[in-house]
Amino acid sequence: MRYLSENLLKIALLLTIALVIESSIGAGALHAQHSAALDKRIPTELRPVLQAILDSAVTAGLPTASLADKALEGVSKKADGDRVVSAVRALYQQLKTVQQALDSISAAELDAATVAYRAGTTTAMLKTVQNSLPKRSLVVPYGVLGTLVQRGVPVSDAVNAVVKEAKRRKDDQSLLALSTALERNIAAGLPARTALIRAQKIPDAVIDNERGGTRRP
Amino acid sequence: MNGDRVIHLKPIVRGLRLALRSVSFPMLRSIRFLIGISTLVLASKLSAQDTLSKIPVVFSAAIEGGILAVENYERTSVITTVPAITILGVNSIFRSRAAISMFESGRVSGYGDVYVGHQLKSRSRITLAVEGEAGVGTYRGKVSGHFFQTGIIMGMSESIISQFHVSNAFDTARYTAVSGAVVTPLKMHDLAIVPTLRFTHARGRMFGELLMETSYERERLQLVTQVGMTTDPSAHRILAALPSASISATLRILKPVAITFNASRFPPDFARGMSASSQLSLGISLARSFPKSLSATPVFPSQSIWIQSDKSDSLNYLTLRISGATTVEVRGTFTGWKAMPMIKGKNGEWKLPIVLPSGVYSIAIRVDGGSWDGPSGLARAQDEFGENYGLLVVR
Repeated sequence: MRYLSENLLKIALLLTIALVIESSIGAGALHAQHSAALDKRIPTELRPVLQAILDSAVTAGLPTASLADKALEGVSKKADGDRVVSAVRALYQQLKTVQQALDSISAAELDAATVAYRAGTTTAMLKTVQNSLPKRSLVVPYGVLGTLVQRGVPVSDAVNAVVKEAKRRKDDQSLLALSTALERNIAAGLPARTALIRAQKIPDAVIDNERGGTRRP
Repeated sequence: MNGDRVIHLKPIVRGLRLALRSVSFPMLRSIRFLIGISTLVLASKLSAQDTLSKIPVVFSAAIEGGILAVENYERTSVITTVPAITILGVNSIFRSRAAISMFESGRVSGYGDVYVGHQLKSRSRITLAVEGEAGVGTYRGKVSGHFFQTGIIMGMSESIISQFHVSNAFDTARYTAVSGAVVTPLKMHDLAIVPTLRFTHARGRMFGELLMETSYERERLQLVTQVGMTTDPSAHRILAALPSASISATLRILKPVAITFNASRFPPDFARGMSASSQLSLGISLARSFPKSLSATPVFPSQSIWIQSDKSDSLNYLTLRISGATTVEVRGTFTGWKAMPMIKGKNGEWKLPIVLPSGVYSIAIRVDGGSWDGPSGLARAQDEFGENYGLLVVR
């Protein structure tokens, strides 16, 4: 009897852990069923229209955290109401465009891909990255792609560099080092494309010792 | 395909300047007026790409024309063209240019120079580069002077750059000079400051020079000032110094139209045998962006933002390196856009403990209560609300 109750306790514990893990994954997944709450700092008169956009995002299966954050950003920067709503609406459209172009993508990946899209990457190029890097998180590749394009690297060169580096090393550290080296080279006066070519020549020993890599806590 | 070559020739109009300029050289007892100058800069970018090399090549040409009136001398018109070619390699820069001036009287004067710079090491905090420059001047078909300079540049961090040069010239006066300089660029808010201390040995004497160049850039206005002191070897006092000053302002009234103003006064350069001069100019400029403001920018800057874990408390810190700041605040997607004060650390480092899952975050910093801006070391962009921010990628 005691043996049975111990096993039941273990099963219950495992089920609880599984439920916690599933719910935490579900919270970050793209098909979240609840919209992010609007911050208290959002003025009352903006709430109905912003909530409507967030509700539309839920219906469309889009993550709402970045939309709520965009609204908060505008309010924090003391932008007028129309501008805040316009910015949130534009981001909603961009998220939707990117989502439609990419298959089965997580919320964090969609946010990162949208950053790259806003910087000037086409949806076709985003798809190329997704197809070239199967079975891995695309948060950092899309994020780094966004920074390269934002810095003026031609989109095709940026995509090639990101895919090549991501395939070469799967720990994302070399991608972050690539972005860091590009910034350093541009600050030294090199044009973006030359800066990228030089940044791609970083040896692994330097990447591993690179203090600048943004490491996950 | 190996060996296939694709050539893109893209003409670029960089800008158009219209300026009224007055230049005077007191030591020559003459005043020159250059009126109605127009400068048209055309640049063509020719990039030859093949499987072996991807080297951007930039061709550019500046054309300047005007009326030159020299005191006690007849008025003459002059047209100067400056064609140039710049090749930007992965670790090298090659630049060659030639200035040809044609006068109304049919006289022709020319000047040409070649510059080569090569970076020896770029991976560590200390980096080295070597550079060489040679030029030759002609007048009425004869060589009137030449110039040669070679040097080493050492970047120790983003804030200290030392330069060492050996120069030799034969022009209005012969001289050979050895000079060393320390440049320490600083940036505070919208203000950039570049102090330079230089010592030059020429003609058997040592000349000291202290220069302070500042640049302020804010939306429509760019203001560049330069003040300096040069030791006066003609004075019979040890600390006698000759002041120099220059102020340039560019006010953008309607993109891309801007009003430009420059006033400068320079003392005689005893080391190089050049006379004192003063300049005044007022003009209109058509350009897509402000001209590069400071002559001495960091050659090989080190990174200024990163996330690291601290072994002493096992926390992760967002770390910024900003020298000379009293307060630093940060805000972004990860702070709910609330301003968070950063903690001052050693060696100009500012820290904030953070817990960030993998993602891309918008980040802006404010130094000493100034305006919010994206930190250097990150790709920066402007948001829909007119403010700059940086993109922080976390794995």
